[in-house]
This record gives sequence, C-alpha cells and structure tokens, in this order.
Amino acid sequence: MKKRRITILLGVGIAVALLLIGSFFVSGFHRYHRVAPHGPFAAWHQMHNRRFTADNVDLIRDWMSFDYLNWAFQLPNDYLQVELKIDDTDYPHVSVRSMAEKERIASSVYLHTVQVAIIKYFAQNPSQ
Amino acid sequence: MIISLFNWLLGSFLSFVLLYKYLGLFVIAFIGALVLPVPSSTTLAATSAFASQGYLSFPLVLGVALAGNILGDAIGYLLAYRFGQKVLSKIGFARLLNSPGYHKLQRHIENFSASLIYFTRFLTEVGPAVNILSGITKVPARTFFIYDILGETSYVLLYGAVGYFLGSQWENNIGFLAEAGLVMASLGFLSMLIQVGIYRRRHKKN
Repeated sequence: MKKRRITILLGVGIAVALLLIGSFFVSGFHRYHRVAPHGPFAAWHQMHNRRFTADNVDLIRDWMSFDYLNWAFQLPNDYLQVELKIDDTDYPHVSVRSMAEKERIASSVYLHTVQVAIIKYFAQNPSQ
Repeated sequence: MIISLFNWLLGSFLSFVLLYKYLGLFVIAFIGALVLPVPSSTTLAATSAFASQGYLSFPLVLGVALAGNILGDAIGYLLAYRFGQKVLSKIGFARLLNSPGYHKLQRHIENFSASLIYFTRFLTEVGPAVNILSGITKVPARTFFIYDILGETSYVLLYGAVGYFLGSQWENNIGFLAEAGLVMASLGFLSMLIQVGIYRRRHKKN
C-alpha cells in the first residue's frame, strides 16, 4: 500500500514538473514572438545595430553611469559635465543616482534633467 | 514595497557593474555563489545586454561570471568540508551529527548529489546552502566540482545568452529570467524523481 502511494506520488511529481516545463516553453514562445515579430533574427539585428538617439531617452535609468550614457548616446565626454555643471572629480565614473544624492535633488528630477540635456544635444546636432 | 526594494537593490548592483565593469561582475557573482542571495542572475543577463550593445566584451562577461561563480561555490564547499562538522559540534549540534536522521540525509545527498548540485546552480537563492550542505555531508570533491562546473557553465551560458539576445529589451523580460530559474528547478525535481524511481527499482530487485 505504502509502495503504491509512493509510486503515485512519483507519477504526480513527474507530471507537475513536465507541466511546468511545458508552460515555460509555451510562454517563451509567445514572448519570443513579441520580441521578434518579423522573423527569427530581424528584431535581433534591429536591436543590436540600433544607435541610441533622442527617441531613446526613456531607456535611461538612475543607476546608469555617465560613462555609459556618453558611450550609449555617443556624446562628447564633457558634454553632460558642462551642461549639468558637474564638478565631481569622479565624473564620468559616477552614477546618475549618486550625483542626484550629492546635489540633494530627487533622483527622478535629476534623471529628467539628464534626459532633457541629451534631447538638447541631439536638437543642436541633428546630424548625430 | 518588496518590488521597489528589489529594483533599488538591482539598480545598485548594475551601477556597481557599470562603474567597475568586469571586477564588479566578478564580485557580485562571487558573493552570490558564496553566501548572499543577491540578484546575480538578473545582473548577469543585464551585463550580457550591455555586451550586446558593445559596451563590454561578451566572452569576457561569460568568463568572469563563470570564474566568480565557481570560486564562490568552491570556497563555500571547501570551508564547510573542512570546518562544517567541527563548527556544528561546537555550537551544540554534536548529537544531530550522530543521529540516524543525519546519516539518512547524508546517504540521500550521496545518491542524488549530481542532480542536486547541477540544478541548484540555476537557483542562486539555494545554491550557497547546497554548497555548504555538500561540504558538511562530505560529498567527494571530484563529484562536487564536476557537477558544479557543468552546472555553472550551463547557467552562465543560459542567462548570458538570454541577456545578449534580449539586448535593450532585457528590462521588460525580467519575468522570463525568473521563469527560466523555475523551469530549471522543475527539471532538477524531475531528474531527482526519476533517480528515486530507478533507485527504488534497483533496491527492489536486490
């Protein structure tokens, strides 16, 4: 009786595990189609060959460093430093969040200032 | 509350990676594997996304994450192997170490150590505890390192590839990473159940 119960439990366990694995693949398949609606590699190429522009400032987060932002948006190294009047000697190796804390400004407000400065750069340099 | 705390914590880790690059990734992977349940899977996926943009080198990201994880696991296991039972005895668990329950647990871990070690590499919250348990119950070093290296390589390749493929979209797909952990846990559970079935059948024959 006990052995039979263990066998049933084993069967139920295996079925649950298979169900979880199956649901993951179904959900992964749907997610994949959302990310890549125009064929298997089209979205991948689009994402990886894309340069960040003024349209992508919504991707900026307060944990990003100025070094990364300069690189991602291809800004001159001192552009944000001059525009935001940053006198921190660690710049550009400092995060937006740390600068906001240093300036005693709410991180979301400072982040918005950074976004505006980047939009301004692209407006002044339309060829970029 | 918990989600905003997680986001704040993840943001701090990602800041650390962007500021210290490979060293930052190594430290997070190492600490995550050694002792603390830090969001190292999401950090690895995000770092691979930075690599897909060209900010970091993808092979180096994989190599550094792998080295940090394996070293963290190894130190946790070796410390527990060398001092685990002594420490447990000193803090009043000597009776537990001599109990039939403990010996039964030791036998179970010996029988299922391969799948236990391999699959818990994907569960960063459980991994450090399994390293310590493997050390205390004296899982042979060879067995531990074979399955640890295999597991960590699969884990780093899986999360690295997901982050690299998702690129800038990684943030919208954090749920996918959690699901990947869940599916690996299910696979581990499945493998363990099959092993239990085989083990029981063998015992029955004998």
